[in-house]
Amino acid sequence: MKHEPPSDNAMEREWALQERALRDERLGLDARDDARLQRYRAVARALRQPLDEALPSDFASQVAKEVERHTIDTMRLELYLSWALLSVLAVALLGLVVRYSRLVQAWLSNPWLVALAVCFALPALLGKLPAVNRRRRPG
Amino acid sequence: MSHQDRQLVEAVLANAPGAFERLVREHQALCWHIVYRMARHPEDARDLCQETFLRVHQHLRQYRHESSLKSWIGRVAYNVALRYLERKQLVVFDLGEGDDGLDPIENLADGFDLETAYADRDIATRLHQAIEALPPLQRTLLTLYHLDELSIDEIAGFTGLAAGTIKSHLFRTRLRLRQQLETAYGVSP
Repeated sequence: MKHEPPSDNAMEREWALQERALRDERLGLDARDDARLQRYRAVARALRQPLDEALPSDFASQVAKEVERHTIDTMRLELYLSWALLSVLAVALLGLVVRYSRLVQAWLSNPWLVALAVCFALPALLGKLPAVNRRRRPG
Repeated sequence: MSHQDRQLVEAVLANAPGAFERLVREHQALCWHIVYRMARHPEDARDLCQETFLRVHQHLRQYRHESSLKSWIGRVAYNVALRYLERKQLVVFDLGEGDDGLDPIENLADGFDLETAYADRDIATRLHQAIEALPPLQRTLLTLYHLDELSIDEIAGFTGLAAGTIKSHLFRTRLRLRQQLETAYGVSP
């Protein structure tokens, strides 16, 4: 099959005739004497007819609902996966605590280490306090 | 890309109420013309149209505003329809077209009173049947060019075909339809 555009003069003239028929149909011009042009106009008229089948009138709202449902399903899946991941992390953390419980006990029994931990934690907690108060204040 | 397209895309991405429904409503006719002309099966075409817009929603963040939204959606619809035809193992275009050894221009004949003949509904029915019998690609290209009034460059934008190829398909298919019309009404070549 040739995929080249019409190149010789006869084909160029034929192409021009097809295009003229298309334009005349679009503009609703009166019929002319040229029989070949009229045949192409018949073709153009048939091609401008709406398709015999159409989408349902509520297609857009149906698709929008489907997308919404799909989005909710995806979010739910992401939530389930997040919970699964958190559960794995919690189990891993528990395992670590059990594994190193003696080491943690040893740290907690050392007052200097406890004091150091408090030194880090206390300013952070105090820094949060005003923000919490502001949020609770009405207005 | 128009300012309205950009606003609509941003509204959809921001999950604004009704934005996606508006996007679908604005572009569903083009999608339907592409998909239904390619697939021909109404039920399948409806499903493919829905699949097209689900893909549009899913990939809208990847839309880079390099072409119009219409072209982008048209491309998605065309690709969805092509994959459908591949799954069904249907031929997208007729490879035998134009291989009859005759110069199509030489086959033309005059002396056909079309004005009278077209009054007959039979002409429209015959043409309709001839259009329906065309291979999917040619049928789709003709619909986009004549019914949707898209330019050859716009069609090339979402089919990925060269403009010359599209022009060739349009030329030969319209010529063939004209010849079928003449044959049906006994106009000798």
